[in-house]
Amino acid sequence: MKGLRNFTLLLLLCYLAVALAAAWWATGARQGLIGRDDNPRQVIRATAGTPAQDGS
Amino acid sequence: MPLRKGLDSILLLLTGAFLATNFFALGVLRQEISQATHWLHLLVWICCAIAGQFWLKHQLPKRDNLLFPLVMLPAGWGLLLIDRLLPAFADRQTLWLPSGLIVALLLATWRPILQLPQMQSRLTLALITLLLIAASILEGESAGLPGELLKLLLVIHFCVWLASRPQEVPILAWLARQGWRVLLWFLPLLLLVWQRDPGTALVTGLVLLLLLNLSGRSLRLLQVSTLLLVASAALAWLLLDVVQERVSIWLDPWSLADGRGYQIVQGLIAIAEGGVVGAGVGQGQALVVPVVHSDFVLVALAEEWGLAGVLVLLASMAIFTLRGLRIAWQLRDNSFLSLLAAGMTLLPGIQGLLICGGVLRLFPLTGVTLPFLGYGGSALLTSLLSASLLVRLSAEVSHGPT
Repeated sequence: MKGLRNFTLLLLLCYLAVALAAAWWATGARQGLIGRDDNPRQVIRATAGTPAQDGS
Repeated sequence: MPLRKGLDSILLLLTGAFLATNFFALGVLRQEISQATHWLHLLVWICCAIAGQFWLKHQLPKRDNLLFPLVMLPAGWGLLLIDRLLPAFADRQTLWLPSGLIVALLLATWRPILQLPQMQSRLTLALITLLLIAASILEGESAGLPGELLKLLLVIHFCVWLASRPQEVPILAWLARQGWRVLLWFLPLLLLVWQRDPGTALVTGLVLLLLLNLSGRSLRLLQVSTLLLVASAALAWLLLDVVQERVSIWLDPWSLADGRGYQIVQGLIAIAEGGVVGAGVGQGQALVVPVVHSDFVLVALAEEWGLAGVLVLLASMAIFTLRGLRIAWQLRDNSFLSLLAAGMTLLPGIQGLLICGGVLRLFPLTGVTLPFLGYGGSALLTSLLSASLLVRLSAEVSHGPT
């Protein structure tokens, strides 16, 4: 089990990559995604007359 | 090694408070707050948390006390999410949690459990063969349990096999001496692929390869393993249409958004809708994502609790992995126990990483459930069994100066 420390670090980096990907979709790419025509929530918002959330 | 005394109770109390608040909010939204059935899932979780904590405190006082709360958080969150998405499915999951926990805790505290795989390796092998037969005969939902248990037993038996290597013999020389027996480990994985379950085969295969590399540190072995992994992936892509489809969806889901890419595109939209703090429990529209309660449960969590919720979940998964690998390191004098601790940590750890990464489009979707959180009774049982073995292993760590 000599390589366990390096391997643990590698796994933690993988978790960090997943967290960064989640952050990207939830913030960086947010506006582009929620404004898509195929977002079913657009129809609900249009019916209710409310604009898309900004920033949350 | 136990952390500060009472920390586990505090964490369970905090999780209970979080779940109670969210169940309350969901009850207000559904106008079911006065109905006893609305509180049933929370009540079952509380009973499991109290009984499990009490049992572990008395049976394994020297355990790692962080592991049980780290399992109960996603398990409770999963019940809440499934209840919010598909209440009928939550009833079934609520039955699986206490029954799985009872089996897992009884097994973990059974005295000879850690000696059994080494002493009765033929029995383990017979069980693996039986599960292989059951997995190839059964179809549909009932095929899930043998497949999941097979994954667990394969990893345990692999640890027994690896631990039988004399420490002075280099790993590659030992593998060469084993000859054709090395190939036998890949037969169950091939069967899982043939059963159209490449996700479980991938998780198991990855865990076996990682254990092999952890067992004997060799650059050559690492190169061979990587080559084997790449060759298997290429072969799977060439031979299996389901793999080709998942790769093409991963590469460009946007052009397939109306068809095969619908699930992943709607999943990403749901994550974006959640933003940083989420829409709130019951306020999202994640039900538009197909199979959201199982493979895509992270998406529902992201829409209702936002990035904050996802980070809390990922942190709990990462701490679980960290603690598990720490136990493996502390048990390094006994190669079987050390490998077993690493295996029981990596099974939920790698599975969680693969499905989260797949949903977030880091790599192709694998079609496995998120451990402890996603819907699936047999998946929950297997995850509970591996976590309970890890808790038992943590109690085996000698507490002298390290």
